[in-house]
Amino acid sequence: MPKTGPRRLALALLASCAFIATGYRAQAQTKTIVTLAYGSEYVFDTNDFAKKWYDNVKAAFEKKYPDAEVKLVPIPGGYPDIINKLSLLYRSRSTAPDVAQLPTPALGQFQSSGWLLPMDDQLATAGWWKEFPDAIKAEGQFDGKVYAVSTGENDSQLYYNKAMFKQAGLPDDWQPKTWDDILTAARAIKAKVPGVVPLWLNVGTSSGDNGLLQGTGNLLNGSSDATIQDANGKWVVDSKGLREVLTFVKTMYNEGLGDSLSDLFSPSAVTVPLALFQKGKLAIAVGSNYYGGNWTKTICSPCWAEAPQTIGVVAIPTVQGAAPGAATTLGGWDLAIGAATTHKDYAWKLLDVMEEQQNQIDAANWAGFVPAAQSYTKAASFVDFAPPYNAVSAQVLPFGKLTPAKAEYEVWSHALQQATGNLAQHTDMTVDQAIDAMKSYVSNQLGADQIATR
Amino acid sequence: MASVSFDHVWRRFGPHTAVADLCLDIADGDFLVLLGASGCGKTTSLRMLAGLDEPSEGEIRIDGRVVNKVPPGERDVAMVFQSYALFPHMTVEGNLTFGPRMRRENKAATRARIAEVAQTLELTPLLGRRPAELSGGQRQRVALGRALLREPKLFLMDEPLSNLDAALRGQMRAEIVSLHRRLGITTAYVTHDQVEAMTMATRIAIMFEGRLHQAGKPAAIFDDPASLRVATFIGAPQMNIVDGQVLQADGVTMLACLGTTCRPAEGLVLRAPAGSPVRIGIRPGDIAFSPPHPGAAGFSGAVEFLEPMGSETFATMRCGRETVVVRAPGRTPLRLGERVTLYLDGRFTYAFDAEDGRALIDRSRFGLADLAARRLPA
Amino acid sequence: MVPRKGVDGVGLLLLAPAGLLLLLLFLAPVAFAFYLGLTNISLAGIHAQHYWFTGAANLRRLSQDNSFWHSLWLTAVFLFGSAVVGVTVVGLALAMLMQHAHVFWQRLAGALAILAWMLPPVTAALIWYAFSTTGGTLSLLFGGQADPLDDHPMLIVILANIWATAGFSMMVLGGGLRGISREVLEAARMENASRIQTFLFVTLPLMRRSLVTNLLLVTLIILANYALTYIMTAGGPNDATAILPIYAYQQGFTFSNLGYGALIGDVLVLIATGFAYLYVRAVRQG
Ligand SMILES: Nc1ncnc2c1ncn2[C@@H]1O[C@H](COP(=O)(O)OP(=O)(O)OP(=O)(O)O)[C@@H](O)[C@H]1O
Ligand SMILES: [Mg+2]
Repeated sequence: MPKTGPRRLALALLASCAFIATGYRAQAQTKTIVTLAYGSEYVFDTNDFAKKWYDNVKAAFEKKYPDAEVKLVPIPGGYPDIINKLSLLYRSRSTAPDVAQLPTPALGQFQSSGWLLPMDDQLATAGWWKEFPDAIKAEGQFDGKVYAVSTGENDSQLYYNKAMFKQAGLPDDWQPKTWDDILTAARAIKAKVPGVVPLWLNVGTSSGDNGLLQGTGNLLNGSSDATIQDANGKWVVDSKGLREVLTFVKTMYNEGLGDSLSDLFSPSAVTVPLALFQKGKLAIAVGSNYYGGNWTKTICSPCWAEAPQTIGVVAIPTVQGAAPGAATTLGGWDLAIGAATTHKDYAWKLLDVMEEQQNQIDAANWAGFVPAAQSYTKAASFVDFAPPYNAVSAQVLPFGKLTPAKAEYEVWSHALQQATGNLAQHTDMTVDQAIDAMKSYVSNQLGADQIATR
Repeated sequence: MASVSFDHVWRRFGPHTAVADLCLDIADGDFLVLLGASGCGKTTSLRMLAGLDEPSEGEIRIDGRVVNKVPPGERDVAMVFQSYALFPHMTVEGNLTFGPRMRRENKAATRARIAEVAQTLELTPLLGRRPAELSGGQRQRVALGRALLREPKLFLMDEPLSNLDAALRGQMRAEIVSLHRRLGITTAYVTHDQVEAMTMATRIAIMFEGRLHQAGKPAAIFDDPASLRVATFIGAPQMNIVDGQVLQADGVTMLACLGTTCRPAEGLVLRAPAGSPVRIGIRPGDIAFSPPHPGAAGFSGAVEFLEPMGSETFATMRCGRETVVVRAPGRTPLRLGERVTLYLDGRFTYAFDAEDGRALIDRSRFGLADLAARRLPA
Repeated sequence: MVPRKGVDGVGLLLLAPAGLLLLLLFLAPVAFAFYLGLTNISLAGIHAQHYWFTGAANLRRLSQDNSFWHSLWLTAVFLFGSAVVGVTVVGLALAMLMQHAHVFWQRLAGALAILAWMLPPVTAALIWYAFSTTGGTLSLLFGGQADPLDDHPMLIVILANIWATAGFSMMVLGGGLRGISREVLEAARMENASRIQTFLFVTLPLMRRSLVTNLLLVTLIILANYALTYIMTAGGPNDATAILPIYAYQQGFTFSNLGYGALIGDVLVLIATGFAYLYVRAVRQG
């Protein structure tokens, strides 16, 4: 290569950059570009479904608004990758997305960074918004303004194997009213059906907050006192509710009603009950709404055509059967408009398209969500996608409670995960000891003045 | 004190034979030098004797006891390695005390012994140094000291002087010899330096390619080499080898070579038929510039090359198709190209089988002292 | 020509770009990490962009953070177990075994050891995960229902690290062993030293440098290879294996305290630098 080689190469590169830049600008003059950032690998059941859904949204929007164009900004990787990448994008006005899909627990941090735009005015005109249960309306609400709206929720319910119930002399159409009913059933299974895990309940730290949402968090929400952060903003580390949850966990694992530690502490613990159910090794599980969808032919993760005949589903009861008689966590994904957007009308219009019925039901079916709008949850295309499971998850959705959307919540959550994990592993540990450990962990991490006892 | 005997000992490394059918006795108090070119199996033989290696076949006996399976520590032998093998992380003193410590010898006695040995070998000022801080000769003395300290019944030394410069080598040679005289410990000493062999040995064993070719007193090996290879290996410069023939004239057996003839000394028997071709060997010092006896026939040679060594000069002479090296006095009048007449001495002319190189003149009937007495002053 | 000592002006000028690059590539990020460690930056939230220097606040927090001290202790146990006891002893034992083995076995063992070392942490972690949880080979040895990973998490994690690094150690120490002259060992034998005595008084002291070098290198490798531990246990169960790198990650990315997480990372950098310094010194001394 002649000596001038590298220099020529550099010039050529510069020239082509300039060309691309001008080309880009020329296009921008004709159409309004609306950027849409989203997790492309983590949220939907498969990457193909994610692509299909966002392509649909883009096509629908551009058909409806021919002078605008959606620029998709897919973010690959897992949960932390999405958070990190979104944080980076928001930091610069030039890369901040007009619309983004954000996980509910992180909303508080994004909102407090000043990255999101309130949309109360537009919401006042949206029919779907009126159908959102209050708890879900609240998830994007800060200081009285709404910064984000749900685009799909996860909740939890009880799954049980009907054949094993029959074998153990339990009713086919199980309707537990209290937590004791759950333990009683598990005991019967343990006595009559050897070689199976009587009851699955996620404990420990291995699945992070996700494990809490699909496990003991549901119990806390059905306990006598579900408060996580009190009115003064302090973190509750000792309460009647927490003690009820920990006592349940202790009883369950002391009596050998739970699964092995290997399964519980596995990094993929949340997928364990699905596999155990299909292998005929599990009787009851506190599990997420997406199980039913996963068993369908469409999602097939794993396919299990006989599931509806084999596995029953019922709402998780409250501790003593108090109203409303059902409890669940809520966790999901939201849509928000970026504060840096230069065309918030189009951003809202895109968001509105995404919230349309078919799009929301597609998202629910393809990502294992429950749609937030009540009429959507009753639509046949949702209910009949995974019967009987979707009907039950839709029915318990309004009873769901949110976790605080604060960074500190993760510390509290980690402490509760530790407490439940420890009780499951060390059968000689008392509930008092678990509470003490939780107290000292949270006060160590957040400061002694940040904890509360109720 | 010990005697050693190798009894049909073989050592094979896979397809390669390092030592073949070695039969050798070392008498009590002997200083045996194992001599041979590089790779001929000297070290291997010594290692088998030390117990660091085991014969593939045959027996090794020390004082009559078969030691093939006896570990080195139990043979009561001390070895000086070719590389000294000092412990690099220990001081000289540490190196010396290592053995006694391992053998749990009395500490006070050891200290006294070390002082004594260090005195003898002039190591006293070096006791606190590490091997890396010593010169080659000093290291060598430490290695020797380590061996001495143990008062073994057998000393084994593997080319202990090969890494030293000429002067130091001479000095150490004398030291080892005097030690041997004083202590009388049976010693097996490996070298490929014939000067060492000749000056130190009470007996020499010469090996080629794993085989023992000749064993005997140094003078016997020099004066009565059993084969052409031994003859050319011992002596510097090398023995001249020229083509020759056995002649029978008037009932007298003669050797013909270099255009002249000579008669082996009276009483020497030539084991070859008349007319057969032989290889004739003459040491450079055995060619004379004047007739050894009146009427002796000479041959002519032209000076081709001169190597003045100071006290003597080695002259390479061209004699027809052959060249021979002749020893001349230090201040020689010889000039390059000069033509001179040279004479052979039948008593010191050697004949070897043209085919297998075996010696053809049986000198065993002469006592070696006898032969030496016949050696005329140059 | 005699090479001149020192650098003249032109030389400096020529070196300047390289020096600058080094500064930018290496020192600047480290310095920045140390700066971040003293700020209140968070992953997202109000302090994501508007963060500031908070002086000794993070340090004060660190000194009172039980989790940190616990994690530091776990790190010490972890490093001692895996690097000092494990890799050094296992590596030396392997190296010595291999020394006397047939060339075929030497080559095979060398290849396997390198393979274990080159294996991505994910793969190694998955292998060990499957091996040490209920139903795995290790658990079957103890009757099938045992769950070694969760019952003795630190031990298993240490074993996995030893497994992944012993091969490297074997190669380094094998080199050291080959550096010991055979005749020196034979000299010890001639002096009636038993095998154990030869090992203790000759081999070990002569291996000192290799051992120290290896120990420090392995310590650095193991510190850097925390992904193996993270994938196996994510610091659990219940923070039983939350060594410093994992605790730093937890603070930075789970609890969003990037600044504080960076500070814990800085502690790690200091520890690693300490080891690296010792390493360089040990190598220089010879
Ligand atoms: N361990 C071994 N494996 C294979 N071959 C060997 C081994 N030891 C020695 N040999 C071979 O045996 C032969 C004799 O070796 P030895 O070391 O005894 O020679 P040496 O006479 O001491 O030579 P030098 O004067 O060079 O020291 C050589 O050809 C050598 O290559
Ligand atoms: Mg040798």
